[in-house]
Amino acid sequence: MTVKVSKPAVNLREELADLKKPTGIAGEAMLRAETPQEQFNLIGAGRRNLIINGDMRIAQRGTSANITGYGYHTVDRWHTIANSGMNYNVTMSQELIADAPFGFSHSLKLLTTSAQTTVSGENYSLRYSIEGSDVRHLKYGTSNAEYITLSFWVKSNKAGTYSLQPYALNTAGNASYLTSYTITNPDTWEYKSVVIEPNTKRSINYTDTTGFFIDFNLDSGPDDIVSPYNWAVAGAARAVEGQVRLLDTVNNYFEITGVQLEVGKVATPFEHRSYGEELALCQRYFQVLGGSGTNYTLAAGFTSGTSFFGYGKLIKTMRVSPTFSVSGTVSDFGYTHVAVAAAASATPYVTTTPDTYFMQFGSSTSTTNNAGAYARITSPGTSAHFDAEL
Amino acid sequence: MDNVNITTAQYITDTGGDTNCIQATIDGTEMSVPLDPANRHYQEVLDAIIEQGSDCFDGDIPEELQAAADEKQFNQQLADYRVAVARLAQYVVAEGRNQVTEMQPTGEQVFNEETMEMEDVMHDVITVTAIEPVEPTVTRMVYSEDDPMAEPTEETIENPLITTDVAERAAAQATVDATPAAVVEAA
Repeated sequence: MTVKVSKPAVNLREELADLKKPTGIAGEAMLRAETPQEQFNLIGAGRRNLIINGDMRIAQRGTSANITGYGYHTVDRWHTIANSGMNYNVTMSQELIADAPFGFSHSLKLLTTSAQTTVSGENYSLRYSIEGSDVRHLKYGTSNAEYITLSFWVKSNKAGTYSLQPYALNTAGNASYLTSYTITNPDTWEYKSVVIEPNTKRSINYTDTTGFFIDFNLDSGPDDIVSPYNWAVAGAARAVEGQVRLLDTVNNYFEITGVQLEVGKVATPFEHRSYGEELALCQRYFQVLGGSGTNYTLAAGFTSGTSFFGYGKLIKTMRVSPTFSVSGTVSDFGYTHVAVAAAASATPYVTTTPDTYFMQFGSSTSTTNNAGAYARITSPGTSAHFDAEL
Repeated sequence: MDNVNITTAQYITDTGGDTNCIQATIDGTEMSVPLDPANRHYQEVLDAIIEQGSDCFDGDIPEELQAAADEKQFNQQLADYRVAVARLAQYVVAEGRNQVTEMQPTGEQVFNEETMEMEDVMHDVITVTAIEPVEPTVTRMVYSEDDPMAEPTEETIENPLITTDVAERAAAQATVDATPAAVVEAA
C-alpha cells in the first residue's frame, strides 16, 4: 500500500528573513563595536575608570579652602595650577550637591572670590595627574596606541568654550593634545564626553611619578591661546580660542563631578566604587592620622631627656616616601611616659618610608631617659598629614 | 615649574648622625621632606636651590643635595635645548620650504656593456615636499564696540601664523643662546 504524505510548501527565503536575531539595543552595539576593547567596555568588564575620586566624595584635607594658586587643597587627587607665579583668589570646595546629576552626591567647586585679568604667561587650571605605571595599557608611542574617552558632569555660571589638555610626560620630550568642550546653559549640570585620539608619537615614563595628566583650563593669558591640535610636542597650559575666563568676575564658578577616563571611543556609565575602596585608593597619595578624639595614639617609642623618639605604621603603603606636616596646633602633639604628659614644643621631625614613619620631637617637660612612651594627638582639631601626591 | 615658596630648609640628622629628612617651610607650612627623588616636595626643594641658591637653605647646602640640584638643572637645560633645536629646524612659514629630491635606486638593475657589470637603475625621489609660504598679511573685519550697527571696517595685519612662528623661533633661539656649553656638548 502506498501512503502519500503531503506537507505545506516552505519558502526558505521568507523563513530566513523571519529569523529573529537574539539581540537588543545592547546586542546591536556589541555587533557594531570595532574592537574587542570596545566590546569589553560595553559589557563593563574589569576596571574602566582611570580617575580616582572622580565622584569627588573623598576630601581628607578638608571640604573648603581659600586658595591663591598651585596645590592640593580639598578634594583628594585634584589640584589647581597657577603658572608663572600668578596668584588668584578662589575658594576650592567639596560640595554636597542638592541638584546633583543622577547618582552623584558630591562635586568639586572652584569659586572666584576676587576678579582679575589673566595676562601673558598666566594660566589657571584644574589638574588630575596619573602615575605613568597606571597608563601603560594606553600603549602610547606605538601604532597600537588606544583611543581614550573622558566623560564628566559640569556646571558653571559662564556658558562657553572650555579647553581640555591631556598631557603625556616623557623624558625625551612631552606631548600634549588640545581640545575643548562647550557649556551650553549657565547654572545647569551638563554631561560631556570627549574622545581623545591615540598618541602614536610619544611614549610615557612608566614609573611611579607623573606620566599623564589632564588640565581643565579655566582661564588663560592671551599668549597661550592656540588652535586645537592632535598629539604634538608642545608646552602645557594651552587653551583654545574663546576660552572662558573664570577669573574675570567675582562669583564665577566651575563645578565638576562624575569624571571618568577610560580606554575606547565610547563613554560608558560612571564606574561607581564603594567609599572604602575609593578612600583606600586615595590613601596611596595622601593619608591623615588623627583628627578624631583626644587621645589618638600615633607612635610607640622612648624618651630621651625632653624628647620623644618613636615609630608608627601608615594605614597603607604610599606611592613614595611621603612628606609629613602638621594640620592644626603643634602642641596638640605630645607624648606620655607613665604619668607624665609632655606637649611638643616644635613641629616634629619625621623620617618616612612608603609605609612607616619615625618621629622625633622635643618638649619643655623632662622625663626619665630611655623610658617607654607613646606619642599621641590630643585634639580632634589636629592631625598628621602624610603627602605622597604626584 | 609649579609655583611654591620655600623660605627655609635644613637637613635633619638622627642621634646616630645619619641624615633623615629635610625640614622645610613650603608655602608657609613646616614639613619633613624625605630624601626621595620621587617625592614632589623633594623636587621642589631642588627647584628652590636651583632658583634661589643658598637663600632657601638654613646654612650651607649639603654637598649631595647641591649635586642633585645641579643634575636636575642640567637635565632640564638639556631637554629645553633639544626642544629648542628641534623647533629651529622647522621651516620658516613666511618663506615656505623648497622641494628636495634625491637619486635613489629603484631596486631594478641593468647590465652595463661598457663596464660589463650590473648597475642599479636610479630615479628621482622627493625626500622633502615643498610648502608654499603663507600670505604675509591677512585682512580682517573690525566691528565697532560702541556702535554694533555700524559698518565694519577692513584691517590688514601680519598673518598670525607668521607672528606665532617668529615669536616661537625667537624664544627657541634665546633658549639655545642661553644654554651652557657643557649642556650643548652633551646634546
